[in-house]
Amino acid sequence: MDFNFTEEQTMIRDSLARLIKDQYDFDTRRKVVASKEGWRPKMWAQFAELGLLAAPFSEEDGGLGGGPIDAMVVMEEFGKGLVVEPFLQSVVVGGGFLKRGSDGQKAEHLAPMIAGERVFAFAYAEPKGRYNLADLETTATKDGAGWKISGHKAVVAGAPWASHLIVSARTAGGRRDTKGIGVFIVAKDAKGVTTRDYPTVDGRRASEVHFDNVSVGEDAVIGDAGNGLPLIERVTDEAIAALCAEACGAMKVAQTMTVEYSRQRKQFGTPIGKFQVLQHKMVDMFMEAEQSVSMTYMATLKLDEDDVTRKKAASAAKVRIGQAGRFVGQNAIQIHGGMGMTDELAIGHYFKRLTIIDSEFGNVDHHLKRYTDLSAADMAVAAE
Amino acid sequence: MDGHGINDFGVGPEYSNFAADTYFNMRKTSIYGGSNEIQRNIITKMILGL
Repeated sequence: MDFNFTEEQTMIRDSLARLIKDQYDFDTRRKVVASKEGWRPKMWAQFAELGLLAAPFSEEDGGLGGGPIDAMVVMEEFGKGLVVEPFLQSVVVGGGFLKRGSDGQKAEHLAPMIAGERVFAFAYAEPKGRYNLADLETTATKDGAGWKISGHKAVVAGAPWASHLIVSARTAGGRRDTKGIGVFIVAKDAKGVTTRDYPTVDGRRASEVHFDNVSVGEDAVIGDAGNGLPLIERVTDEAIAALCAEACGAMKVAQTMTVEYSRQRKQFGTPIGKFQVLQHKMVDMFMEAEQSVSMTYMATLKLDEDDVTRKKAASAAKVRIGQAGRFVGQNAIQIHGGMGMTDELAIGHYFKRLTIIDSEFGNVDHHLKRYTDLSAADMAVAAE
Repeated sequence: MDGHGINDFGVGPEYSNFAADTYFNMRKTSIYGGSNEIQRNIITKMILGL
């Protein structure tokens, strides 16, 4: 297998790494995160200019001809720099839905998204839904030539910065039925949409979004309004792979920062990095990060395989990354000591981000069960 | 009994005959060729540079 990156991918990585180094240092990030807006639209425009927002799309769709590996490269650098701008929400998820939409939807939404003019957020989770993508109380009911959407979506990441939302809603059937789910594009300024915005523990922004009889046209439906779950699962698996790449970037930095700190910090007359008990802990952190990278590659490379293979790979990676992120984050703080818990040091912010990544799109327990269920179904088929 | 550590009487179903042997045989893998702890010392020096 060839794990080398293409010239374009290496170029994306290098130019993004340089941009983050120059304009996204830790102190700048702290100021941005604490500002009223919480992000830098100008930075987003720069990302668009660099071609980052176009990277994972085919040339027919107005992209640069890349795919999930390009998204992986971007997300890993975002993870290293703790970048808050919504590449995952707008490009990976928003773009993931839109590129599978109609030609009209691509022209109307995908092109301006790639240009950085429209920003998308994914309103799918509900207060009682746990991680079940099909557990929906939000409804979309047929209304003349279009639909009316009503319901409450919780902790919609990046929604305060979004112009548009991708919304999952029940079009038929009962609350947890896998059929009868539709995917809709809703402008955030549409009549009946209200939001309550707030900061999250990892320095980002999210919203509670309420839909009160929001009218959308038939052209707002992406794919099959009666059977949207397979599409949702596919796009969220792509989001999981991208999220895993972000975690890998964050873990690598947390691990190397910790090694560096152990070189500087003296105790009992010697750098603490000389103590074998800490050395072994840091080696374990290094190996957790390395395994996470391998799992991320695996999940990313299997995104276009059959449903079961793709789902199992995404879940397996999410489990490994959730466990590794916790291990690396907790031990990074432990080795930094009390300093590691202060807001002034970057390390705690890496730990916070890694902790939140585990809870996004299903945590370790959720994906362990999903993997088990898929494996059991696989074996049942094989036994027949 | 042939003294190879394999259970001649075949405890349990046939497919599981080697499970215990394999398990106990694999116990050595964290020791031989340089124990896990030695590998950690090597990684400390060669990769972490401490």
